[in-house]
Amino acid sequence: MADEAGKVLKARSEIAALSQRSVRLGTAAGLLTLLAAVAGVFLLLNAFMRPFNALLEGASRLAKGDLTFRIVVNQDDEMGKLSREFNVMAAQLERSDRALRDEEEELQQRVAARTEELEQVNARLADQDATRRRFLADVSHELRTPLTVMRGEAEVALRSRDHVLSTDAQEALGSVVEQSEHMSRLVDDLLFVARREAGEVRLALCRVELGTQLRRTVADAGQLAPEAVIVLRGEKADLASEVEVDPGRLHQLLMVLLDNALRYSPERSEVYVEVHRDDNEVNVAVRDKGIGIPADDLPHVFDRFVRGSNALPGGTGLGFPVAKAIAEAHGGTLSIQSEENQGTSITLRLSLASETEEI
Amino acid sequence: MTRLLFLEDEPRIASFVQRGLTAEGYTVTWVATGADALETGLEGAFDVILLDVMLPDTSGMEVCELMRASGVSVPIMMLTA
Repeated sequence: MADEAGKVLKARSEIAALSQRSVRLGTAAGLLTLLAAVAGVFLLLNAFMRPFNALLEGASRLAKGDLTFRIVVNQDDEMGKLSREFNVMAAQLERSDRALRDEEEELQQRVAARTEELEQVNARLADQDATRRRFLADVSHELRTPLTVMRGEAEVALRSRDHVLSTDAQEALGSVVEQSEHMSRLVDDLLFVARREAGEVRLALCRVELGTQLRRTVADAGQLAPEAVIVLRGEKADLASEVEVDPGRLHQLLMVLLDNALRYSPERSEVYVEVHRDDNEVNVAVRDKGIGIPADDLPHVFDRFVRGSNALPGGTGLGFPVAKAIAEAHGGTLSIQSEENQGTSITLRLSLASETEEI
Repeated sequence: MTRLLFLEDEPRIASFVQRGLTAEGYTVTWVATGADALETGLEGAFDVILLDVMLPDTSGMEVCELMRASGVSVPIMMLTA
């Protein structure tokens, strides 16, 4: 009996062990199936995502400027169509980009060619400028030197104590001195106008009180023509106007105007120098009651060597052009009003010196 | 006799100025270049120096400055057209 019971027990335990193994095997099989399912899902997902990833990478490469990137398309579904469209768009972008680059390159070449052309023109102009300067300097030297020699030799001969000169010889030498001085002034005037036209006038600028300068010039003009009556008129404040000028050149300009006014006025007739300040500018008008300038001659009074139909002998035709050149070199203007047999008024307009500037 | 050093590059001008000054009683030494003027001015004894302003190689002003810098203290006059 006991033996029977032992057998039953053993059989039971074997059954239990078998059952346990079957449970374990079932679990393992279940796990394996799950694993296979997960792997399958993963593979499926990966296959599904690949075209998306390719598209994403393509977009990223395009954004970074790599326009040559294309997606490899192996499918005909919606993703395949999208990828092909992407490739078409990338190709178009690449073409546009290349066209733009070509255009830019061509533009750069054209700019470079034009720059070189301009540099050549610039060099040529600088060369011409240097030649003109040299020419003016040479002409100045070549014309002035013989005149200086003529005048100097005549003066030395006149002053010499080694010999006694006849009256005729003295007169002849005196005439040489006088005429060479006149010629020197003419050369100076011509060169001044030429330099002004070439933009090469150098002024020794300084700040002056207009009234002081005008009184000096009026006194000088009065000495040249003792019979003349020159009246300086202007408000005290206007005469106190300060201008930045080359005093020597301004004197020369005013002397031209005064000399002209006196020359064409009846004897003892008054000539006025009138000063009037106007905002940031000041006008100096030289006014006479002389014979005036015919209307037909008026537009040409500032032209070189042009003399009015009623002009008196002795002038050079350079006075007014020089005066105008001096005015313009100072940034000013010179204008003229005249009526035949009534008189002439010539107005110099100059900017006032800035108030803060100290010289 | 007043001794005068005269710098002038143009011989035709130098000629009459020299004769004129000699006639007035000056002893004139003429030089034609700035370099000569400096050399002569520094070694010789002159009472007055007369310098042309416009010179081809240098300017009379520069010669004047160099002379003063080298201790020449006699009166210097500038000659210009």
